[in-house]
Amino acid sequence: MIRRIIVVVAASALILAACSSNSDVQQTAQVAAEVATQGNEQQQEQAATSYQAGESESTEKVADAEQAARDDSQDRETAERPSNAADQADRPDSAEQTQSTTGEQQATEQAVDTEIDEDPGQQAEFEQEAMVGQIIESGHRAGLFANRNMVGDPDAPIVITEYSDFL
Amino acid sequence: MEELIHSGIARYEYRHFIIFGSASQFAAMATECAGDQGAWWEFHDAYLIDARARSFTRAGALELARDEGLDVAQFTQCIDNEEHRDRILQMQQQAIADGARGTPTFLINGRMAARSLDGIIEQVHDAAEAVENQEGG
Repeated sequence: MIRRIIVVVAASALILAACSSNSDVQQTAQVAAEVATQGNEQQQEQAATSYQAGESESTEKVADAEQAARDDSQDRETAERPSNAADQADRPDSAEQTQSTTGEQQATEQAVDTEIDEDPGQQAEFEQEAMVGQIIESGHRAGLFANRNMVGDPDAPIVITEYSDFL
Repeated sequence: MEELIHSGIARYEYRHFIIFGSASQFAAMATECAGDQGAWWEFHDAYLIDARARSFTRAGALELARDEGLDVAQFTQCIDNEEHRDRILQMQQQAIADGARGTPTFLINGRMAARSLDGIIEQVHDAAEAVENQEGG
C-alpha cells in the first residue's frame, strides 16, 4: 500500500514535471519524488544491478514481495498474475517459485507493515489518485504534439527525460 | 515548464525503467502495444489512475484496449508475443547507463537532473536561457 502511494505520488511528479506550473502541486510532487527515491533506493539499486548483470534475482524478490503484499493487504477482485505473456516471458518466474520461501517471508512482513498503515495510507492514496486524475483530465497535453512516449516538438533543443515505473 | 513545452523549447520523454518485476514489465509492454495503435498516452494515464489497468492483469489491459477502441486482436497478439520486449530492455539498459538508480529519475539533455522538482524546473529554465542566449548571440 505504501509503495502504491509512493508510486502514485511519484507518477504525479512525472506529469507535473512535464506539464504543470501550479506551485502547490509542484511542491507535493517534489516531496513525492524525494520520498519515492529515498524510500525505494535499496530495492531499486538491487533491481538495477540485477538487470545490469543480466539476471533478475533481486528484481524477482521485489516483484514477489510486491505481488504477495498486494494480494495479502488489499481486497483486490483479481489475484491473478499480471499476464500470461509476462509470466511466460519472464524466464526467471519459474525459478522464482522454487526460491519462494525467502520471498514469501519478505512478502508476509511487508503485508503486515502495510496493514498497519492502511487507514492513513488509503486516505492519502485516494487524495493522490484524485489529484493525478484531475491533472490528466485537465488536458495539459492538449494541443501538443504527442507521439508514443514523447510530448512536445520533436526538434526542441531541450529534452526532459523521465525514467519511471508504473507500479 | 508547460510553457517551455508548448513554446517548442522543450520536449518531454517518458522511458520505462522496470524496477518492480513482471507486473511493471507487463504494463510497459501493454503501453507500448497500445502505442502501436496511437494510444500510448491513454495507457500511460490509465496505468497511473485506472483501477482496471492498475490491476496489472492481462484481462484489465484487454478491457482497456476494448474501451479505447483498439484492435483487440492486434493488441492481444502484441502483448502475447511480447513484441516490445527488446525496446523496453533497451530503455532499461539505457537507464542504467544514464545513471538511473530509482524512479522517477529525470535527465535534462541527457544529464542527470536534480532530485527535487524545483531543482528540475530551475535546470530546465537555465537550459532554456542558454538556448535563448545562443540563438540571440
